[in-house]
Amino acid sequence: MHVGASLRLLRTEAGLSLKTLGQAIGVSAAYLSRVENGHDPAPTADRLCAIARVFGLPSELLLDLTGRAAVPGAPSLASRTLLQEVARRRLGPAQIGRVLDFIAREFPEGPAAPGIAGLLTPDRVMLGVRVGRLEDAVDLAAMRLVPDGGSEALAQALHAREYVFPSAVGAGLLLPHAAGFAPSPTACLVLLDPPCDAATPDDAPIRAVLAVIGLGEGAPALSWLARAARLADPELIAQFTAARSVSEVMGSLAGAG
Amino acid sequence: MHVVQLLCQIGAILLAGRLLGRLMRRLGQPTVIAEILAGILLGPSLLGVISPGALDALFPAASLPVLGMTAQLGLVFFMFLVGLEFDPSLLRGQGRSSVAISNAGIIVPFVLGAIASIPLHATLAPAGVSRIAFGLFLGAAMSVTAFPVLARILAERRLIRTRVGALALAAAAVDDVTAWCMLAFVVAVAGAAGVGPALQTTGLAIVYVLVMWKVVRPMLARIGPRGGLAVSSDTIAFVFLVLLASAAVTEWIGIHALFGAFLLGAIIPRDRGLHTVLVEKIEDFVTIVLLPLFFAYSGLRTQIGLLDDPTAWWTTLGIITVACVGKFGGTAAAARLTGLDLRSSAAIGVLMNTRGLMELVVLNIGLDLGVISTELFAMMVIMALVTTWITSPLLERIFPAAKMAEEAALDSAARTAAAATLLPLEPVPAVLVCVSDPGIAPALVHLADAWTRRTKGAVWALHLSPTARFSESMQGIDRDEDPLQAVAATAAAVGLALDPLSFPSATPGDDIVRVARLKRVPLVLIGVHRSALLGETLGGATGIILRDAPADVGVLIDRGLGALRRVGLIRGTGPHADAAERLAARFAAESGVEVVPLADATGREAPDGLDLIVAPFAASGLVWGSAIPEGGATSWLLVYGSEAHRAAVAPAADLGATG
Repeated sequence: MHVGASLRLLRTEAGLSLKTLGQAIGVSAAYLSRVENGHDPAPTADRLCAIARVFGLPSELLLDLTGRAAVPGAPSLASRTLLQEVARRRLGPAQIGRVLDFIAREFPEGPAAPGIAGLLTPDRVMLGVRVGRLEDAVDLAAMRLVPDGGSEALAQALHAREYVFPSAVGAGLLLPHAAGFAPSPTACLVLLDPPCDAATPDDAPIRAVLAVIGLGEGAPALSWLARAARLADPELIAQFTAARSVSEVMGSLAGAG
Repeated sequence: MHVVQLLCQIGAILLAGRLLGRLMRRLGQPTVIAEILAGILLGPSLLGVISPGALDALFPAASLPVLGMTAQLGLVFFMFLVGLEFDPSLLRGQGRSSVAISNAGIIVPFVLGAIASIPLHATLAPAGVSRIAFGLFLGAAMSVTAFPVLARILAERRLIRTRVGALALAAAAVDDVTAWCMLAFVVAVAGAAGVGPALQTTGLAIVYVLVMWKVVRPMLARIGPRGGLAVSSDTIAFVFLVLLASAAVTEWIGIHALFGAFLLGAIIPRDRGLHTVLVEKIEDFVTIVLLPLFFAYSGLRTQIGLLDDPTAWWTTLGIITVACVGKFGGTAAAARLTGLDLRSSAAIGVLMNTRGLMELVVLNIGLDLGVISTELFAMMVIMALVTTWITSPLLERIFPAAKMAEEAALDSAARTAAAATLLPLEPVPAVLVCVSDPGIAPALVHLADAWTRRTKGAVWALHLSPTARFSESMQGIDRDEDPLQAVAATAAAVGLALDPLSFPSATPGDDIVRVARLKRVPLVLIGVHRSALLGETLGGATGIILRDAPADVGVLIDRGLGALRRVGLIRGTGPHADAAERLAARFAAESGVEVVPLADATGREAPDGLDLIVAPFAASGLVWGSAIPEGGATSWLLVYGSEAHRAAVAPAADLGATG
């Protein structure tokens, strides 16, 4: 449960400095740095929405980071915020009706956006993997993502990215990623057993490595990363590592959205 | 008209440099010698003697300023490149040595140069130049090390990543910075501006370095590539703007534009793509096209014809001697005193004695300032050429390439172990051990230990579990029969550090090949049961590995192998024979096992009915002989060389009966 690490991941991916982002949402760089390092609590919903606007992301993606709505069924912080706003204004049935109308008009029910599960195939979920060093796990992911040559280049790119900004987002999840190497977003999930010790924001050892490639640039890439970061939920990661089959893992993932 | 002239000049310079370069390479000389020589030959020293008309047509005096400016620009970019390729991490851990070497490399030649200036002043100093300015300049000129030439010699001989290379480079870098500051001081004194402005220059230089480090470097750290690995042309243009500004500022301060270019290159952050992209974008153009222009420009100003009497040549010889004694003697002694062995110290001395291009830069400055005469300029150019010329042959004598390569391997192994997947990997004695059967695992670990004992190369123990194990019906992951546990137990017993690697795989053969490629191991070890050898060829996963692995493959037929003590080598005639020999030599070098050459392919019976096992492979090139007849069973390692993954050749490895 480390919002700061996820925010830093998205900020660095967006290529923004602490100062630029701070200026854009009207807070100091020092405050943002404290949040990213977990010395200050997660930003308020307002600020998260502002950050989401800067990144060009739907605010719900960032609000979810704090609530970690990854566990199926649990209401996200975003939806709870909406309820709180309704309650605080003491809206009556008529006003709530208008809100619902607005929602129906503005967000027609379409097919759900593809989740992280859609980026995975059973052969790219590796269960019960044991490594001595975290780099080896990233290498294995690279190997599965680009099986026919080119995996060295991908592995190097992933390592280079990790070296600049470690992508551990807490709860034992590592998110190595690259813009290219695939025509469209593609992922590989490596589940480590036993977990692998590494420097992580919440000191939890790495249990899952979700490598995503073909992210492209800009908002779509950030959106995939934000969705991937939502998986950093201790309960979900525990479900993954307890799974005995790939289909069990895929099931948990689909539930997490 | 001017443009056509400049283009013709560049063409002539390139052509002369390249043609001469071929000759020089044959003589074992670095390209830089050819380029300096080409410049001199195209100038008044040769072309001017043969055909003054041709010289005048190709390089009319009026065109020289343009050529000079282009050359200067090339030099700025070249120094930037040198800075980029300078690896500050090499300085770590050898600070004391490099500082001592560079100090000695400045002080000793400086003093000797200053002393030598006393008798030379009367005849070789232009009128009106004070003894002090002349002495200071000569001292500074003697103490220069050609950092870029050094870098090129080291690069051409692939020595940059060795300890000696790193030390020489680090010392030369410190040396250069000091020499530039000193030169700035000399320039100020010679310009008759007095000591005050000279001190001011030094102060400004210090401020400049601080600003570059504290302000510009953090700024550069932010503009690296974002997200992906592409670097926009805006970013490149911005870096070039900063480069021009940095060079201009240093020129304005009075410590020469080249210093600013070098410093900027040195502080570009290494951990992002920007650094690599910059090097890629400018390297060829700068070193192949622009840099020779500077050499040619210097050559055009060199008039060896002025040295027309024996006294002049004796003086030249004296200058060369003073230069070599000061630089080589000073640095080699300092290296020895800081604890390097004799051979390395001598190598450092020889390397630091290289003057090449930097000397030319300094001399050009001196000539421009009027501190030295054209005659002395020619003598000093010859000195620069000679000291650069002797570097490669002397180095080869003192420190043969083979020895250097060995050191390079050692250094890179240490670096790889220390940190990083990020560094360019060179072949290190790493090994990928594939274990599937807990019974064979200990034998494989003993082999891996013998393969890496001295250099501590990386060892990966790879175990692939069938994907079916994770089927719905499975009741839990059974770790009891995990071969990696047997591996860990043996590794702990022999004190071998290894990284376990275990994952489910539906195509074990292909996955082992992939891991071998990713980890760039030179050797893959696998164990097989004797039954696997009953067919004509090794099939299944082993067959795929033999066919596709980008590494030598050793197939172990284990019969209770313990710690490796003796290797019996059967040299075959097939395509894998070299690989078998190479492996045996490596085992011997790494862990001191005894290699016993066994009979050649005699076809004699191998003990224990082993012939029955390996016989089918005779048809495909495998040979065997009498294995070591001492007690205990003999384990065999069939070696398949990476160059020829076709047939088979076997060294019999007695792998020291377990007893």
